[in-house]
Amino acid sequence: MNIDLSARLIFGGSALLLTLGILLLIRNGSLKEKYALLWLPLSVFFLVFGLFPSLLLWVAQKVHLHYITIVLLCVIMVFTYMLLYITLRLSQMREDMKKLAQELALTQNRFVSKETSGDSASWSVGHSQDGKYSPTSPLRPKQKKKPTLGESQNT
Amino acid sequence: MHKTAIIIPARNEASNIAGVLHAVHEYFPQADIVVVDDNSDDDTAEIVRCHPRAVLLQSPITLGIGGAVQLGVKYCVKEGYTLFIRMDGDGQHPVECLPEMVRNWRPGLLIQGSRSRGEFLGTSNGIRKIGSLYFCMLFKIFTGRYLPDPTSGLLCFGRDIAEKFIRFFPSDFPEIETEVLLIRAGYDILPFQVAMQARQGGNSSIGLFHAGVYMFSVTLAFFISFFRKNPYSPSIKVAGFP
Repeated sequence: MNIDLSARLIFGGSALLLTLGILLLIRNGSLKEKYALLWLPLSVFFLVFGLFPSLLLWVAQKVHLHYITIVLLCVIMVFTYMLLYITLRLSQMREDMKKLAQELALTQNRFVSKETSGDSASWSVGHSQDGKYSPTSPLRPKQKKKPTLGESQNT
Repeated sequence: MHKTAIIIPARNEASNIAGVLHAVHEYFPQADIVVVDDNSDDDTAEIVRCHPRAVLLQSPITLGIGGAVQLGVKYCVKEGYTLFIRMDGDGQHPVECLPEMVRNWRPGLLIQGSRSRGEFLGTSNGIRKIGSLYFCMLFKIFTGRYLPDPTSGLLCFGRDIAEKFIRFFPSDFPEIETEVLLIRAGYDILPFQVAMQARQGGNSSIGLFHAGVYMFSVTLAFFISFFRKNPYSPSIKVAGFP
């Protein structure tokens, strides 16, 4: 009885913390409601069976899960599917982010080249005076050239 | 004469990139240089910005080598280039052979700058050596092609393949996967023998720790490539790119 009580306190307490934590995360806007749909039932599951472990035994008997290993396996399977879903979302987001970053870089380049072609002379003067590199640098003598792509197309 | 672009993906290559840009300008002045700075921590972008002939594309996040190359290809296709060279920013790829490599190009062909077997066994480090021999063997067995250096990143291709690369290009270890898909789509890959230079500075992107991940990922990608819907098949058109 004593062991049962301490087990209840530990599992029930941590499940309660989990539930409160999830609710708090939703309130802060850190966790999307869509994903709360994933986590909230799970935390309620833990809460109920954490506070009343005997209920788990009763349910196990009702659905003919006589071995604790099978129950464990079921739980692990559920977690595996959740993890798979999350890594899937992560991969999709990575792909979206790649596209976004590429588009941003292209747009930025177009913006900069438009700016420089409109104000080319002053830009290139300021540019060549940017004394970042020593005169021994192989870049130095060629910096007098106009730094636009258009010129290179004509040659 | 083709409008040629040299795409150089660079991440933390501040110690090498100036030399590479200089060499390219010297040996292949008619080509435009597009450097993709993949969110470097060092001065790579500043050095490129100061170079008069190089176009700089800067990604705000680390795209990975494939994402960086794809970004360069996207830019060049939009700018109307017809011939593309992709080379490394660390100075290992010999620039002097580029004009000769370009002369060998014809539509539907991907030219891959490759080490000769002897030189390759002599110069490259252990991981790359084993990796490249292994993938060479995989290609021979499963595609019947002999590619002496299938992991080499020195590539020359035309607009036809560039448009395919816009559609799909793996982020992390792109070479092997794209080669299988291109072969499946009926494109030809021509190994072109070059003498690779020793690394001048900086660290290779393939460390000891990542070797296992690399081998596993690429092997998986190699075999999956035979069974997936081919994004390079000729019937598929790229939306938004005429």
